[in-house]
Amino acid sequence: MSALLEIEGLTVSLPVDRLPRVVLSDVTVSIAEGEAVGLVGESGSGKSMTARAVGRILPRGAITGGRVDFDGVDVLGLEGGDLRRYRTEGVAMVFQDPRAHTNPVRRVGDFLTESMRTNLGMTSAVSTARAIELLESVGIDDPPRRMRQYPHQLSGGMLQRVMIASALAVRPRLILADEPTTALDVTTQAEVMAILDDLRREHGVALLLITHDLELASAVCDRTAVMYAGAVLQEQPSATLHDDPLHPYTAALVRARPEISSTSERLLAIPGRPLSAFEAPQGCAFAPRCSHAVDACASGSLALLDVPGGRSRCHRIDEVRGTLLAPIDGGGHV
Amino acid sequence: MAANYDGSVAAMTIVRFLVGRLIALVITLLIASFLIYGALFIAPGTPLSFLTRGRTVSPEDLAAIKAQYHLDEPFIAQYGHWLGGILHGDFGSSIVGKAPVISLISGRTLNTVALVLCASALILAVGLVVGVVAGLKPGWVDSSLMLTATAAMAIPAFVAAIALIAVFAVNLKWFPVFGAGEGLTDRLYHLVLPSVALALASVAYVARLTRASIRSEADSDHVQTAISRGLPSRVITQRHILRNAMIPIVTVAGLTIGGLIAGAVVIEQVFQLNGLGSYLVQAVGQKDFPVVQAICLLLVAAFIVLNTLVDIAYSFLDPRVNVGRQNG
Amino acid sequence: MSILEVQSASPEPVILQRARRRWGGSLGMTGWIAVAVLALLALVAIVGPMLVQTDPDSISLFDSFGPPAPGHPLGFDGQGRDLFARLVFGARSSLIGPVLVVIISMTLGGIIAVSAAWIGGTYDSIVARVIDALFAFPGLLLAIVAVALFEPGLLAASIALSIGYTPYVARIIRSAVLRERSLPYVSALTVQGLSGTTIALRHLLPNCSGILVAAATLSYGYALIDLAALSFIGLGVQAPQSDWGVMVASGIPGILAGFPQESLYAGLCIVIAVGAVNLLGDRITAIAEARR
Repeated sequence: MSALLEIEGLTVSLPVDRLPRVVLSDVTVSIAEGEAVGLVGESGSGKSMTARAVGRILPRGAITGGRVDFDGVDVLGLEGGDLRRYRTEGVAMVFQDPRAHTNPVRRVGDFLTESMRTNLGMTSAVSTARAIELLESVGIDDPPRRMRQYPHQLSGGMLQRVMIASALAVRPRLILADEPTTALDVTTQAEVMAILDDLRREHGVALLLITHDLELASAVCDRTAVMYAGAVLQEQPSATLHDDPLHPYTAALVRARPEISSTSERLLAIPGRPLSAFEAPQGCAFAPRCSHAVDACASGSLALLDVPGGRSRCHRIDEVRGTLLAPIDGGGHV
Repeated sequence: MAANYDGSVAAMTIVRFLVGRLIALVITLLIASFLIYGALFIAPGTPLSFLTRGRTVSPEDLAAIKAQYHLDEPFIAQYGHWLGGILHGDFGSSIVGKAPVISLISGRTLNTVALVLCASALILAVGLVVGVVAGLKPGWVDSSLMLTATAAMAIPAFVAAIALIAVFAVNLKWFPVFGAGEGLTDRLYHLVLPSVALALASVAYVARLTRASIRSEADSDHVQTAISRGLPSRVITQRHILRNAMIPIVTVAGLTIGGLIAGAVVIEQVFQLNGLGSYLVQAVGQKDFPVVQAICLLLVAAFIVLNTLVDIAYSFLDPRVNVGRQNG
Repeated sequence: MSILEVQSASPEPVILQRARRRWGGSLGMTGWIAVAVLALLALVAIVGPMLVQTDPDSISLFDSFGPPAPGHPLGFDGQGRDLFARLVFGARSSLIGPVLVVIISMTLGGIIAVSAAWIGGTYDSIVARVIDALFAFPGLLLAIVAVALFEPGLLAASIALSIGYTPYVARIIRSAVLRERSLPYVSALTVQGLSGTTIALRHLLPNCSGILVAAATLSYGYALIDLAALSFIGLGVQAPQSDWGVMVASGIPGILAGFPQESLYAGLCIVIAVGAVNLLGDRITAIAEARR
């Protein structure tokens, strides 16, 4: 089965002070029809930029390379009517901060029905009815009243549900969710995430979930990819990730999370700080912070290789696999 | 029915809002009038000596001035008399003209209003359009328009006035120099140079701010959402960028027009338009303080009323401001 | 580059390095051109009259509207006075008057705003209302009334303009201080036991410095225009003193007679000065915004 979305060697550079700066060096990941894939990374890893590249809303002056194929068509080259159709029927984005991403002077109803009326030519009555249906499905009470309200009258959680409803309005085949729950408080996070997950399964919509929360991605997504310094370092089914991570970086992230069920002596942190793509050294970007690094890791460019159970950019993965989660003594470092 | 109840509650809140604004307006007007009246007492010497300085005054005139200003009564009473008179249309008597001030200024008011209206029209027509064009089309159009605007902002109204006179009136003889003209077309003809001079710097200012507001909206997150939903760019420009950008622009335009009121004083003087402004300058020169007070009060009142209208307009345009509109 | 690298890279004194890094980078070419123009104008205003040999006030009707001649690079005005000398001498009142306005209005406005924003509560609400009410008086009108009360002249006009600008300045300073005050470091300093005045003077105001400098620069521009306008209509500096505003007015008969030089040169000086101030003000505002 060919993938719905196929990202192959995607690179993006942005002009900063008129000089191009690389933010994505090599992103390779695919999503099948109806599948949920998590893209996990820390700040600067380029995960949001990936979503924007797929949604074609990169900042002015961005230069892209590589391929992003949606249903076999290269998305990066789309223009005009084709591009608008892709954004309507193909992908829909759910953004991190719903308050900033909704027009404050237009009513919620307008926000929901605008795309339906303009892009699909629906009448006002039909689109309003559908919008009310959508609001019900995301768990908002008294939809007709909410439709007449303005965004500032809704709470953050409610507004994010509205955002999700608006993303589903024109029946896209893939949702790009960029940290959809990060701006919400913890209880609301769980609710909103549940709604997003339920609805997308119900309608068979694929999901690319961008998040910094490895646990969230593993819980919600079928497969999880991990990014660092503008490149995908590994990718594997979520079910196996916590027991058999395919990259030292992922293992470090897994170990860094304190166990709630037991007490530990120290918090295990990764020494150093996460890098952005343009700061990455030669060779493996994670090598300077990796406890399994050898001299060979610092030279050459490393490709994403197929390994049993997934893909990995670590060229020592065959050697070190299985030992990545073993306890390390002393130092408090992963 | 719930809907009707909501409707009447909303209407009450709107009324409450407007009444609140009206009260604030009246208070500001009272404070302003108090300060204008009280200015008489800041002058060196007694009010009587100040009002009559520099001229010989007959005993009848002296008595008339005393009576007009109720100078034998306490300050608050004097203020009360003055204010009462104003509310009845009695702005006192001109010391120089020996006639009621109201008759001396009523004819001149039209000239000032005409000038300010013409300049306002220029600001809205040219300033907004230039700003929108520059904002929506990045590139050389934008850079050259903004460069021109920056240069124009540095030209004070009176400098623009004499430059325009030198080039268009004296050299090219396309327009008259002095006077307000007779009849509608002649008046407009006489107002071309004055209104351009008065409006120039403000047109540039409004153009720059309009462009900035549009750029800011175009870069905003909610526009990203609209783009990501695949909406056509025309729809995004009209419904999301322009509609949002206009809210602060309306405020700025309104306040800028208010600023014309002070600038009109100088322009009327240059072009001898015989309006309130030039009369004000004349009255200061002639030490005719009742006239000075009356004109200042009128100009300040116009300014305050305009600002209040702008404030109300903004409150209705931006739904985030709570005025009790119908929204469930 | 870290500050250590900057220090070892060049022999510049550290304070200049810091100043350059703080302001120099973003000031840009236009910013520096504006600074250069203003420095030149300041020089002319302060030192010029001592260097110019010709007397700006000597009338010589024989030379009325005369063209440029040796020793008289810009020619003569309607009364045969040397235009170049008059422009140089006029720079003083035109450029230094506004400085007085800025100093007074920033000080008055600053005290009112900082005290209101710091003390807060009812005092702050009252002050805010009064500021809003005073906004009803355009500076120019206040100056005209002041001149009506006292005698026409630079001093009365300047003081009245300062009072007219105070609400504008106070509002800017107040909102800047309120914003700054709500930042966590202020609570941290208060908890450490520092007094309100110390926090305000040593921490708050320096952090607002960008906005303050921007406000001062823009006020200077407005004051320049308003004072020149007042002198133009005869209520500020009085003729026959050479002041650019006065010269624009006294040159009007010349324009009508076909000799626009006096008005245009004086007008040009005003435009150049205001243009440079606006450019600089723009750049400083941009820097202040970026650092927020």
